[in-house]
Amino acid sequence: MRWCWTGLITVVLVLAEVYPSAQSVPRLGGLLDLYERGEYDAALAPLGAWPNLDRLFDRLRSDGTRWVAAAGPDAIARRRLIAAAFALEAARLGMANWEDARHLVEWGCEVLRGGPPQPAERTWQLASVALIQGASDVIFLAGLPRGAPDPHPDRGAAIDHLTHAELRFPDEDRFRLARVVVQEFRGWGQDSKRPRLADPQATSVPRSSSVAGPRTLLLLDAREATSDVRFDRATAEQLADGVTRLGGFRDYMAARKSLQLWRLVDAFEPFLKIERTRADAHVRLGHTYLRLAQPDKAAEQFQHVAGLTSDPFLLYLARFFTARMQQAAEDRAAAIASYREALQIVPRAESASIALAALLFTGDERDDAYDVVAAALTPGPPVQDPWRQYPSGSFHLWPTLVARLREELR
Amino acid sequence: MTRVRVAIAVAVGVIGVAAWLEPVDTQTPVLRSGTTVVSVNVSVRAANAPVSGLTAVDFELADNGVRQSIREVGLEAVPIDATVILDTSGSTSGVIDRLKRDARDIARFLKPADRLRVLTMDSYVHEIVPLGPAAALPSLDRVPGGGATSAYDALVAALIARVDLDRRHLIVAMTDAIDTVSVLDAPAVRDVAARSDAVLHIVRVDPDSSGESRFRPWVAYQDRDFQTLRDAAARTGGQLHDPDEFSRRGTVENFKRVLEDFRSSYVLRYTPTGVAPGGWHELKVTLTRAGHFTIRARRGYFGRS
Repeated sequence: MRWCWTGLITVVLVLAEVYPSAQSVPRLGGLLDLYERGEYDAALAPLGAWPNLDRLFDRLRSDGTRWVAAAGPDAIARRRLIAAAFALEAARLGMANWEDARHLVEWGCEVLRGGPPQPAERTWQLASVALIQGASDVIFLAGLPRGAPDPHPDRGAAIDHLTHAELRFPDEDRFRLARVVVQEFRGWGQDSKRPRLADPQATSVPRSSSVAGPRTLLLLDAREATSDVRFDRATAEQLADGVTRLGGFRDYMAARKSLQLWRLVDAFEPFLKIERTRADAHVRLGHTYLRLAQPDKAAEQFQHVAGLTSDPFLLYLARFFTARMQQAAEDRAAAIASYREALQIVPRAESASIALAALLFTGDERDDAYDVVAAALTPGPPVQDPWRQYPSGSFHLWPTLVARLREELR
Repeated sequence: MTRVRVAIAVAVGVIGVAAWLEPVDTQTPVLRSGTTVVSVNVSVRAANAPVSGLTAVDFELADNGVRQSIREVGLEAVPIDATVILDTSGSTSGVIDRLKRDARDIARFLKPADRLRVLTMDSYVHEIVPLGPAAALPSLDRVPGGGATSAYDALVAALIARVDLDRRHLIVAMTDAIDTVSVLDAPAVRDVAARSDAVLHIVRVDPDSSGESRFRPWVAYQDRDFQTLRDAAARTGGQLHDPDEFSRRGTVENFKRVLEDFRSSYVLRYTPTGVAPGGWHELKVTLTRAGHFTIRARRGYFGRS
């Protein structure tokens, strides 16, 4: 009887090794060999759409590390890149399970940090930043804000990735831009989706305090105030200095929010001088001015974009934000034209489609509105919407960056 | 006779065309031979049961405060185009299986003449089941989840839909209604809802009720403008159902009731008199009978100048 059980267990163990189940990870060394030979899709295919990232992470730490060292000192730099690129692409495949996927990215970064930076590593770092931006994991990117608790205390070393990237490539402006995009994302608010025009009362002299009442009401008011009121820089600096001296609580909160956005302006401006970040900076600066209810300054930024880039993502956003601005100014015809121009750049993009349809519909142009929505919802290849991806920084560049990384690894 | 004035809570819509007229836009009042005819769907309930047998003399209708003469009251069995919106974003992952089950159950209550389409919302709005017979609803088990929530955009996409003249459009959105990535805000939903032919019901689910929510706290911004959404639904004649209502009676039971209202509603037809044709027309429907009734009708419509 004991023989039977031993035999059965042996058979099961052998079968499990040869025919791994759908949720298990195939032999890692073989996959890395495939990846090294440039058979990228074949190497990743066995992981499936839902790779078991937990087990993959364990295998990378053991078998992956051994695989990197196995080919000897001459090959180790290349193998580090191969293993890190494989881990990064696996993380992208399992992005829906980001809590596990982030560890693969950090593992890849750690492997690369084991040696001096290689040219292809710059692309790897750019792609990894894009991926983390796509996952909206700002803590992994830029660390915790001062005093904030970590909602995921099990993140281990997966924190402040940008510091690693910047130390590896101190000359890379796009990492610094990513840090400012984190700052932009952390201040994301209602104003991002509801552009306003300047309120003359809010941008000239401090208003008298008009808020009185229980503290809870003040706090409730503050949310509205921080969304709706914008001050010019000088007024914001004055009011943010203190609650009681010049204005009321609402003004104080709104001034702090305004000041935060003015600081964002300061942070984006240096990127206008750098060729490879210029177009992106114009779009983001313009959007920040839009949030500050400064339509003229915003328009000036958007006008530069078409002459600087052929990137449909940025071209779309420039038109889309222009339309939002025109809509806020109640220039309906111009807004409709700008939305339509945006849709010529990225056909069926949901943001311009929905915004345009709502504008048409509420203006009694119902048939046009129906057609715009129906086109946006037409089944077919998904259209990546630049507005939806805007908070995700460079995530829209992921396919380009990975293609370049693969090319550099050949 | 005691006049019963009941707050208008849930509507079954304005159909801006009388059945005997040629096909035209379904919301805007119809101009024909110099005459505008407005149709208003009204459901009347007493003690949770539909009230039948009402005639024109039982209703009183005011258009922008001006009492109108109701020229006809019909009780019409109009087929329904139902749009079910499922929130499949990361924040509802703990309850998504229940929502999918509810969607299937809702499909079972529809009649052969009714049609169903299913939209999902995550970072995007997807039409995963185009409008078709409810019986042909495919399995929703493999519908993926995760991502941010484009709740407002999904609601607007559903509200702006062409509906055949001989049908009515009902939208049931099951969502936590916490928006993160829509291009529109809640007031924009309200503006569109006020002009839409559809009746909107939002079943607000509590993503934390299962204890399995994968809500992503690093998402910087969330818009929870429930009051405006409540107003938006009410303007269509629908309702925002709060999570406690959801857990007490369940989406499916709520939907059954909504369908009952639909199927047992009256259609009041009148030619507006004494009011300017253009702009927003506030409607108020009351009963002249004594008793405690709940009257559900659209709050108004936009007329063309």
